[in-house]
Amino acid sequence: MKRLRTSPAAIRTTAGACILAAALGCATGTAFAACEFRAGSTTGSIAFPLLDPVTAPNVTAAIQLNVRCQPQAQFAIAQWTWSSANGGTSTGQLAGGTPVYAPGIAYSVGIAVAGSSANRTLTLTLQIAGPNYTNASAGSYSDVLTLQVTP
Amino acid sequence: MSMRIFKNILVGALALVGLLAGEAFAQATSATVTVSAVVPKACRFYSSPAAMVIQHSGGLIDPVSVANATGTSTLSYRCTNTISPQFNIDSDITWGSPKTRTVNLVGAVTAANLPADITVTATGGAGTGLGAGNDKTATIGGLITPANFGAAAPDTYSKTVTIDIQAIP
Repeated sequence: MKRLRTSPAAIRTTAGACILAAALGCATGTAFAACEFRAGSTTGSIAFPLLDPVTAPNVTAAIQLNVRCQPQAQFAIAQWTWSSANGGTSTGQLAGGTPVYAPGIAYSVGIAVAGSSANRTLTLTLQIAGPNYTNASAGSYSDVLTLQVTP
Repeated sequence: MSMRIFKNILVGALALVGLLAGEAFAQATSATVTVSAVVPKACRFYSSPAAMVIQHSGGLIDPVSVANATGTSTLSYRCTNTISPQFNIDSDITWGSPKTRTVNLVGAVTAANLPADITVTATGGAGTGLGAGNDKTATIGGLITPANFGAAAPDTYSKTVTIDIQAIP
């Protein structure tokens, strides 16, 4: 049978633990109740297929990242957001070309998280519409997308 | 070491571990993805040329004239932004801009050859993109010298010439 801790020393010890935990651990506990990009999925790269300006089809590229929410229920409220180094938060923007193509090449960004456990797969899907590059200068283009999750 | 001190140390240690773990966890709430794409150089024709008549006037070559008989036609092209085109005629071994090649027109009755110089020039210059509204004009010129038509038998001479376009590398 478990003995109740009613002695003054026991009470002081428990209170001290809670205060210390509140000061250090409780905030940490809040952080744990959140989502993260798992090890090996904090960086990645996507290369679009060659952008043929003659036929100029819509071009799509995707990458999958491993994510985790702890506890799992956090997936229901997790916000997966992104920002483009050359664009903003509504449209990604590839910069480059020779000579530099001032308008840049805009692309859309889609995020979908699939799975049923605490560890799931986030698929990042990017698409460039043909009219966005049919008049672009020849050459290489690039951008850096930063993805964030809250909480 | 008393039990109380041990417990406080244990609690402190656990809290510290939790804090460190929390910091490491927080670093993984963002990820960076490098995105890249390549646009190649390209040029294409966007129309077919009308038949070109090489003549002095009225669709005829004056065999006693000392002037070259000439003809022109045009066709439209588009190229990747800032890229210039080059041309080929009848799969020659070299490309050029302008590109000139001598071809033999063939008499309909006599089947004799009549040499003609065909030249394709990117009159419209460098491309501004391959989207609609970026058409440039290429001019096709035909020329027959007096030395050639002066020696030709009366006939109607013709030839279908194939012109190709590509971006200058």
